[in-house]
Amino acid sequence: MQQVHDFAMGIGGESGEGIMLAGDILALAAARSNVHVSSVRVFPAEVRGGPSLHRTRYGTDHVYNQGSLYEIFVALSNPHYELQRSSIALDAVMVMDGDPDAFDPAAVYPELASRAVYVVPMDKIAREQIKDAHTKNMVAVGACAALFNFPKDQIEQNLAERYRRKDEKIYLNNLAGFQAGYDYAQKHLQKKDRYALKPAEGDGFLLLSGNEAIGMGALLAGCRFFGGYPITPASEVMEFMAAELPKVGGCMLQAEDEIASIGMVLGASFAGVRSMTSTSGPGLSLMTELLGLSAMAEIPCVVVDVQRGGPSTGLPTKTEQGDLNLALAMSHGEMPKVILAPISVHDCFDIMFQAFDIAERFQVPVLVLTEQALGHRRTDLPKSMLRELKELSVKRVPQEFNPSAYLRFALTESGVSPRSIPGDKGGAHVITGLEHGENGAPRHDEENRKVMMDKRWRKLDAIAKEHGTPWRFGSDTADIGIIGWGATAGAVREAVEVANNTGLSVAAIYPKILYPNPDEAIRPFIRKHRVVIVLEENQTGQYANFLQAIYGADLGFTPERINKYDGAPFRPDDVLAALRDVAARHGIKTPTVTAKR
Amino acid sequence: MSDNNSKTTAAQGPAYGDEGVGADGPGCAVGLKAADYKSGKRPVWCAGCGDYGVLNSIFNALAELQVDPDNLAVISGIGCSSRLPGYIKTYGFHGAHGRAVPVACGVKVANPALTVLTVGGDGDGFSIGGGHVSHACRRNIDITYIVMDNEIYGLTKGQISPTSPVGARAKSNPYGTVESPVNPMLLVLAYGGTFVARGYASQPKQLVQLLADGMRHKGLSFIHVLSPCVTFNKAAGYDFFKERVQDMPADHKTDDLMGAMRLAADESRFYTGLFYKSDRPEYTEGLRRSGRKLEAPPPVDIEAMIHQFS
Repeated sequence: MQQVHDFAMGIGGESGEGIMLAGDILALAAARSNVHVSSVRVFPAEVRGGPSLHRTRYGTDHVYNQGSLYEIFVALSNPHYELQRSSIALDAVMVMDGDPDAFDPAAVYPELASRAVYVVPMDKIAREQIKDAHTKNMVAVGACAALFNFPKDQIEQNLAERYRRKDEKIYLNNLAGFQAGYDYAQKHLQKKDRYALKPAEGDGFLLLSGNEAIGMGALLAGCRFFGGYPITPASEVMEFMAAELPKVGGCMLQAEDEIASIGMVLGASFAGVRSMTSTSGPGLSLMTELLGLSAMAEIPCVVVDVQRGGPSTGLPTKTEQGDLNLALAMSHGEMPKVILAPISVHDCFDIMFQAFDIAERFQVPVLVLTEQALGHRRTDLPKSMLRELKELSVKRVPQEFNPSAYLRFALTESGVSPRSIPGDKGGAHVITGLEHGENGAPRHDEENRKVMMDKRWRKLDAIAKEHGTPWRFGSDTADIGIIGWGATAGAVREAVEVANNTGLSVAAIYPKILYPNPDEAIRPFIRKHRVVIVLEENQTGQYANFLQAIYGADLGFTPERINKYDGAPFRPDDVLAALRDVAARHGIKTPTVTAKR
Repeated sequence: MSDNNSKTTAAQGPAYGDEGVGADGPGCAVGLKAADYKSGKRPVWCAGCGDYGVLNSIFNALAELQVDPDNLAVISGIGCSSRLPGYIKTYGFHGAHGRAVPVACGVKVANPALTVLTVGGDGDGFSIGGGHVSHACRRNIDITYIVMDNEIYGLTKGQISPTSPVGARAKSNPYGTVESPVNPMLLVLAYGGTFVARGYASQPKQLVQLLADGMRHKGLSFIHVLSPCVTFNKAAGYDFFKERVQDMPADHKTDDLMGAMRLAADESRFYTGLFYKSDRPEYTEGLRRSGRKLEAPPPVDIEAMIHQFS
């Protein structure tokens, strides 16, 4: 039987059973063995209890998403199999908890009769052999390691790193649970499937979540102040900064609310420190007034919105691209702002350099729109990403200003005025959210108002030009073009690849910058492709509406819309199915387009 | 990465200076007079507004401490009194309604070497921004927060404020308000403010001293200033305060929290002077002690980062 090294594995169990830990340990062992991984944790929204799910795609080549259906599913108890049944491939391999003498999976679930099912007495081994029920997840990890060729030494080393110094007893129990699961599989289970991890040569990969990559990118881009407030699914950014900033002289301040956190960010930025916050929809709603102040008083700031299902409390642990309208429209009045959307975990890292660069150079608020599915996605990244970083010079050289000539909001061709910060000699000025003249003093007259509005908006022209190069996938000559934004790129990239390999020519474009609109890239793309689809995870097609408002009149642009708003991210097969449907409606032939499996 | 290892001072820029030294530390200018702090812009306030007295007292307190205008930041929200930063020749931030305190916290944390004044009115601080004051006190962050209380909304031309007394009539309450006022002094004492004082706009000598002592204090200083509105709140004008303002009893000890609260709770008069002072550790100092490297911060340790995430 030929081995398959690219597979999606799900681990399901009750919240509190250590599902995420089990998944993380397997994923890290793979990344350390130079296997590409992409995993996501799906938490229940409750404090305790409810189903937890860890989903990882493993591959010998880059994996851009968590896959379509599970090829392997590990159920720590039967109800969790039942919950995920529709997401599990028809020929998937199952690892289930149960006493092999008493539990016949096919008798309970007839659909399992023809599949490879491994029954492992996880609970029983944990309770009776290890005498620690909490090690059930480790028994599962051990069995999976033996069955699917996860490197045993890497897992043992990881357990030692995690627990040895913290608590010897927990460490030994976990290790014993892992060993027992491993031994059980070797002794009692006959391998009857094709899946096996394929470790490769190399010095291993980094394994980072999107939220951690945001934090790491920000830190290395020179961010030294973070005003935070806990919110799912963004808190990991704050927690990363809380741990890392003090080491380099910075500070994470957990504020009393999101209004205070953005207020502190503006204060710190006013004082000359690169500053940011991260939040999700409810927090962004609260911040919009002060983001208007940031635009009006030209104080740089970076805000990351890890979007979740809205409105109101909505779906805190599920994904959505529902905040684009809010971002585009904020705040009251008309404010120049910049909206960026990273497409991958790696891009989360990269985009923070761009975000701080734009914020600082153009003195504008920069909003980074990511989403739960990306923030909680954990993927491998090359260590060179960090090692080959060029030194950034974010250290501001103190400046001296001529107090009789200095104008904080001096009119310039670019719209950008020289900025002094407290501590600079002679640069004293007062900023205000009121309309103001070049010296910063409030002015309400008509002439000045128009000049100052134009000055602030003028800054966006250069930003769109400088940062307009989008991501592109697929064939330039395709009939069908997909315009997407953000995290959906992972599934779309794979779907486009599959479509092009199986007879349907498709291209995709993902702007790095959503606003200001990078016209030089979007316009030709719309003109080039016969059918243009705007694909996004929301109900009303927010980006489609935005683009249609721009291109509807002059290009007659009425895009096809593919929308998903059930809280789960697009999977490659969702995209392929939608593509087939659009192609059929436009009379484009789709010979053999199917998902990879 | 980017940060070099050279020692920086406030005057060299914010990221990051020496440990905060405040108004009495190095970098102070010499020979500055009160008039040297004037921006030259004419205040928008009505003739007779109590805020003029507060502004003058701030000039004098700054001169007394010889605060370097280039190392000073004055932060405000929205309201009549929040226009004050524009009248001082320094770095000013006239921001959003109710948000002066968090902005000031951000400024101070970013650059502890700056002297940070926060100014605003009773509505800004105890209505829309009321949620922030408790947390700034809790943090004991080294800012001097001056609330000019006129018991009315003046900028919007006469609506009741959180400190308006029961029965106060205004455009928003033509039949008299039925809500009890908040007592800012009692609140801040309860929040854990470490320097809590009250002054009166018409008693500049005492006010200058309270402001200067507040700026010297390492931690959050709260100075409640009775500042009459002569246009929209004639019921609480100079005559009203003249009858009720009274010096602190000579036997009050400033480390006596309960005594301070009793005096603050006395609604028959307004005691002025220093109510309470304590030496709880200041926030940015606490950060330094818990490991924040302000002096010569090292660059990001790339290999440690790789180790942590692989």
